[in-house]
Amino acid sequence: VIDETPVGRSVRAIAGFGLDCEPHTPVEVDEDTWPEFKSRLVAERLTGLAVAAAEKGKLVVSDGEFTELSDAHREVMLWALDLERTLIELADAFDDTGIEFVVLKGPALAHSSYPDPSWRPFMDIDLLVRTRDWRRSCALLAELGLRRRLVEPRPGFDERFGKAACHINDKNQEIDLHRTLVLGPFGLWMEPDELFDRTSGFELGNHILRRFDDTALLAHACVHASLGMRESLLVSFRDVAQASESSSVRWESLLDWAARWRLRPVLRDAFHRTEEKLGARCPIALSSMLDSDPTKSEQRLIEAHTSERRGRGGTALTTLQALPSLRSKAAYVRTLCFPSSDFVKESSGGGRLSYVRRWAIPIHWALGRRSR
Amino acid sequence: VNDRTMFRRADRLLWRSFAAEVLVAVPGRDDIDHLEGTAAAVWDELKAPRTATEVTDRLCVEFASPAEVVGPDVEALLKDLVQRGCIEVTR
Repeated sequence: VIDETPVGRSVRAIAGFGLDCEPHTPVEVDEDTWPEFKSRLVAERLTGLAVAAAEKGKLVVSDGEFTELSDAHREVMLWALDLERTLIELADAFDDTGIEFVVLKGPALAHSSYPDPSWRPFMDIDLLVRTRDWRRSCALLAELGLRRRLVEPRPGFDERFGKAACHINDKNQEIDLHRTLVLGPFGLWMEPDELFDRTSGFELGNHILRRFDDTALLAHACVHASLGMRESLLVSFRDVAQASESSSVRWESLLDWAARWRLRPVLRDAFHRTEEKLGARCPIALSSMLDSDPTKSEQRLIEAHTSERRGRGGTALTTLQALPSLRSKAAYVRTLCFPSSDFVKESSGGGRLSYVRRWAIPIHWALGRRSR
Repeated sequence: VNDRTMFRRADRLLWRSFAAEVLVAVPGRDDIDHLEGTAAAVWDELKAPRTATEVTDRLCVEFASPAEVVGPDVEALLKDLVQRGCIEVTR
């Protein structure tokens, strides 16, 4: 849904600041709508772009409003810098243990795609490790004093079906350890180990850290914008537009992944929504794929992540359908219906009806099917 | 420290610059330094190694102020930034 209110249009214009598609006329916000506009910028993680736009005269604000904006942006930058300090400590620990990792999203995009890292705030750290290193990586984080937010649903679930595990340190910073890029069928079809061969370096505090190369960075930005949240933040679409501007993107690789990893609907959804929200044109190199109509099954897969079906077990259902063997389907269902008691306790706050609540979704599916 | 002493930004820093202010995170410390006004201007000048006199001369032009006013401020700031680990003496 595109927000066509004046505030919505202004926020989207800021999300496009500095891109080819940016509006020619400066954004003006009246006094009455300023508080809403500012809080939307914070929520959509666009304060850096707004500060830069104001400095370039592309956002017209009073001195007092600029001070408010700078104050808000300082808060998120303080958080981001402290996260980067933690990232360097983690990088040293992973290097010492010989575990390969790739820095995903926020810091990687801020320091490689954006013209200035202050344009791209981020709230957590995401690291990708190979599935074979998953246990060692979790153990290392525990050794460093980080606490896993939610225990594994059943032993072996992480490596087989999981996407990531959120770890918290004593500063309340979140470190998301990934073994794949997305939950659900697309996560099963992608081969993240292959992406370890598509990396490049970026400098952070005199350290060279690994990130995806510009093509893989764009692919991941698309996956995140399309599937990351039911209604993704504007900054995620900005990431897509920003990463698309790199002259190093190898479009034939994206087309190859789209075919092999069945990412066509994801790329189509991400680029089309980026165009709708920011006005950024879809890449010409992908036009034949992006202009084709999605099949019904592709549409269902995207809706399982982006519609109300997401909250009603849509992702789990499509995962179940995508699993290759009866054996893996059975293991997946068993875990969904009978996770460990520790997992149920932690994920539900420990009520007695926790198992019943878990079963409500598959029961709802079964009744829905019978009534059809 | 003498007239020929060069200062530069320390190697392993993490920092952000926006809206005429700079935030600097020094590894091994828990806090983050917030530079504004003359301190941010000094930081900006040290994108390349410079002596205190060179920094002073450039800020005199930028702020249209005499060296007698700017010089002591710059020297105090350089000393403070070195102590905080934000900049270092190169020779």
